[in-house]
Amino acid sequence: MELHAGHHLVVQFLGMNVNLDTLMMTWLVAALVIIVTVAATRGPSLVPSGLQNAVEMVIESLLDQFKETLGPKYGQVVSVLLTMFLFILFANELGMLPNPDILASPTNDLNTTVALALVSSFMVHLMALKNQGFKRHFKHFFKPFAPFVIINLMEEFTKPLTLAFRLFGNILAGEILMEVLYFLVPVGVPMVWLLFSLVIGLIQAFIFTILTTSYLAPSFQE
Amino acid sequence: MVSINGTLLFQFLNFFILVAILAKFAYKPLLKALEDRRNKIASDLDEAAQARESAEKMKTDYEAQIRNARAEAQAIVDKAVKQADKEAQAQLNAIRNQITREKEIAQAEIANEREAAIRAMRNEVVTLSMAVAEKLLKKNMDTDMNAKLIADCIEKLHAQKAKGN
Repeated sequence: MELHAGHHLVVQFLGMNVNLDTLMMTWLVAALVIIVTVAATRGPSLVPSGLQNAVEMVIESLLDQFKETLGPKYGQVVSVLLTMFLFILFANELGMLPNPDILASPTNDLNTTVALALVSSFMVHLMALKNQGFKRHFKHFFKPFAPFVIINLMEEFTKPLTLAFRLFGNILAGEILMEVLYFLVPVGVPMVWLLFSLVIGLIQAFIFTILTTSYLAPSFQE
Repeated sequence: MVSINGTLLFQFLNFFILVAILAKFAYKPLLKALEDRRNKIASDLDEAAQARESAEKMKTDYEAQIRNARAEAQAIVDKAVKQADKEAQAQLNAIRNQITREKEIAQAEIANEREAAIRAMRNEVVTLSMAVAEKLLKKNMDTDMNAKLIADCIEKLHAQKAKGN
């Protein structure tokens, strides 16, 4: 058999190789996220019901996490963190729909996950510069002792790398396994793995967001 | 299969565009709704606490008023009872005095009546005696008797004259 998952439709654009399928799936996911959240928040009622209730429940539980980790200034990054969670969640789950030939998660492309991890990393440094100032942020690389600068600098690379590869690996592995299962046992078994993957998709979205939040936490300390 | 290429740049841009769109059209109204709800609940709770406080205050006031009213009513009843007692006593005294007065008057009248009766009886007795005497005198006064009476008188006169000498 030839695996479909992980293979991309590469086109040339402005002299760069671009994975067109990933981009199209990204736009689809973005459109879905926009439709769902805007529909849920349009004309919000005081007593929420239906979609508004579901979206508010998810967002409020995330907001509680952000507030607890980042403190009162969490509003500075709340839009990015919420979007991160919603985008990754929708992206992960979309690829789990049982037709791997058409729909694939944009998060099964390393480009997507690295881009998200870079967003996370940039945001951490930006917030540190904004809230702590250049001097204090620069000094923290030399704590607790000056030689730690090597470890601290390495950490700045490993953090986004682990974020990116964790998400990429989980989703791509899930899709490959799904394809293999469909090939080997077309009835029943893939459904079990599908349910499992749906949970993994949720967990990975949560982990990515919460780890980013915890990386941000030092930048928000007084 | 695993390669970094221009997609990375596009994904970076895509993500920020998505953040901008969601922040404007979804999070802003959503966070506002959540904040509004939080404020509403907080203010409702505040109002409820205030209402409860004022209700309790009102209850205390009413209880105090009821206590005062009860005490006042008791005082009024006590006063009325006292007044009634006093008036009854006064009436009793007045009646007692009147009875005493009337008794005295009655006694005086009785005494007067008795006096008058005694007097009348005495007069009657004298009149009767005189009538009896007259009758007796009329019946027995004959010449012998007259002569004897005259003789007695003369004798008594003599006797007195002789004593006087």
